[in-house]
Amino acid sequence: MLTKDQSSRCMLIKIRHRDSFRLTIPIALFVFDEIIEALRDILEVIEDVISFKEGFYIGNAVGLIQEIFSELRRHKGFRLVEVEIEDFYVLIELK
Amino acid sequence: MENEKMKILQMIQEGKLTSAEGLELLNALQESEKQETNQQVNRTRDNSKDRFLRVRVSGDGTGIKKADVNIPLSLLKVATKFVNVGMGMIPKEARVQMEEKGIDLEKIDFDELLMLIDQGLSDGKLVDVDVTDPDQGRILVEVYVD
Repeated sequence: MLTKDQSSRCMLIKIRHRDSFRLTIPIALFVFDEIIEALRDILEVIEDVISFKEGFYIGNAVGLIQEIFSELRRHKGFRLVEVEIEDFYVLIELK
Repeated sequence: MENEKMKILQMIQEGKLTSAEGLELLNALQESEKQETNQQVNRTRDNSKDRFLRVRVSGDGTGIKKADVNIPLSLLKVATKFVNVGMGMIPKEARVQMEEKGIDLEKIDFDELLMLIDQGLSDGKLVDVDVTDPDQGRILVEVYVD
């Protein structure tokens, strides 16, 4: 089935210090999504046994992180953050 | 819309319109109502999906040379849920101290704030600062929605 996928697949984090240091970190968003989902499942089991703080569930916080990433993925091909301070350059973009 | 429909039905009853003409008018009315609703839906969809909150900082000096942040408005809406969760994590003592200084976090309606940003600004800047610092040089800060 050929459907045009409008979601972002990868987040690129680029860090550069003048010409001495360059780092590019690609994050596969769908893998990250799966990891968060698994973490949420584990936390649900743990929270059945241990309650961290009354009225607060870490699983819910992780769920919100997952929602934010899902929302980010809907937008394709934009620069989230681009900062240049003195000799440092940081770029976070979605592809 | 309801008034117009009643008028058409009245005119049919009084014999000023035939039933065929009345039906044609009612259909045309229904079409224009549907178009209006679709336009409203599209406007809201465009508003929330494609619009970004953009923060631009640029400077001539030795500090920040450039800082660009682009945040989709739809992401901000999700992020406000974080705020609501986060509010509950603030210690009671901190809350009391803030309240003594006149800051009541519970009164801030982030959802409404976001709605105002989303619907109220078709263009225009939220923040537009242009300063010249003797050490840092010229610094430009712009925050806007587009």
